[in-house]
Amino acid sequence: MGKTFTREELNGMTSKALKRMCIDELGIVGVSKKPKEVVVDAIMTKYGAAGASVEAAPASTPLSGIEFTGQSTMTKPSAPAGHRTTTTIQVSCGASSGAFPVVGKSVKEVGEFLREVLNVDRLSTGLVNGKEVPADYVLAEKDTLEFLKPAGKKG
Amino acid sequence: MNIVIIGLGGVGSILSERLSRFLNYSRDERSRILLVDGDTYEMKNYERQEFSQLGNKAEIKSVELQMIYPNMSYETFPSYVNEGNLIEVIKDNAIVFLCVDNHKTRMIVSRYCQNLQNVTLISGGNEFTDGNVQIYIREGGVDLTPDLCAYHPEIANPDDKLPEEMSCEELSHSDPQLYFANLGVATLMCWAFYNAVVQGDHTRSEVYFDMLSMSADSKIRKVN
Repeated sequence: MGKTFTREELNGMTSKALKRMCIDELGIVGVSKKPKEVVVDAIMTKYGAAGASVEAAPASTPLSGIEFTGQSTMTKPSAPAGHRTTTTIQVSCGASSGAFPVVGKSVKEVGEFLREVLNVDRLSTGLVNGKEVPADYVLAEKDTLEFLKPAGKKG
Repeated sequence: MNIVIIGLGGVGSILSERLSRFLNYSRDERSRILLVDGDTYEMKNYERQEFSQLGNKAEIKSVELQMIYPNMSYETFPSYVNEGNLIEVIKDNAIVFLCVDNHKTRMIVSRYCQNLQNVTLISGGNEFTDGNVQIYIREGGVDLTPDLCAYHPEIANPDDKLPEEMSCEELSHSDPQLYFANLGVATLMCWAFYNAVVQGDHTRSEVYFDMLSMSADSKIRKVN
């Protein structure tokens, strides 16, 4: 993803420019006939899914809910210019997947909180970056997490 | 191509027809398909399975398909597979479609294929509205993708039985299934075949689907 804009900046652009940005830069489809405010919302949502610029928690802390960071954009004071950190990582289970703000959380916590969202089985093993990890593994920036879903039995 | 389809129930009966159509009209050379199933097609199978008459599924399907697809060659093995007869069913260089309804058969077939030099094993299964397809590829005695048991302890340590180990009562009992779920598995197995065999793409080794969320997601898995 290239340069990101604030909502105010996006509102200042033409509808045509916004739609072109969606298609050419952000991979957002289905907005060609949408009103401008809907397109702006889609772009802001995309920014949020790609990760807001906040520092990852150093260790696992209790997860009190799905803390979706949405459209907030913050800069880590000590970070070099242009540096971005993300709190969202890709989590999947079977055919279900999504980007969730779970950096700094343990695999076990994530499994419990996403149980209904991703239909994660209680006994499901977690794979981080393709490798099996213990349940207390703390997720880091750029990790990907998959909860293994059992194979279908019938046929 | 030397193709084996093990299991001709809800998934296999659909897959055998679709695969035959593709091979019959897209290849110059004559493809051979070995149809394997010890089960009998009965009235209770009507809602999900595609057969024209009652009898052994492998033998009936062979006759049906040969009439429609003259460029294909069909053979039958009208028995359930077990550890003793797999050597008669799966030869080196085979492309195996595993469409069975129990994990124990998946386990013994996967273990058997791990001892071959070259094999492509595509296994599918479903629950009521979701399911998955696994692709195990072995070339020159080396695994290019994980075997069926690698990421699936429920297959490595199955809690079910082979059909031949079941009593008549156990065989007659079957959980309800949805035809569309069988169709989903058969379709994804065709995609896996096209991707892995026709296109030679060995990167994706598993795909899941879920009818209720109308989604599918493929996985790239490491060989352990």
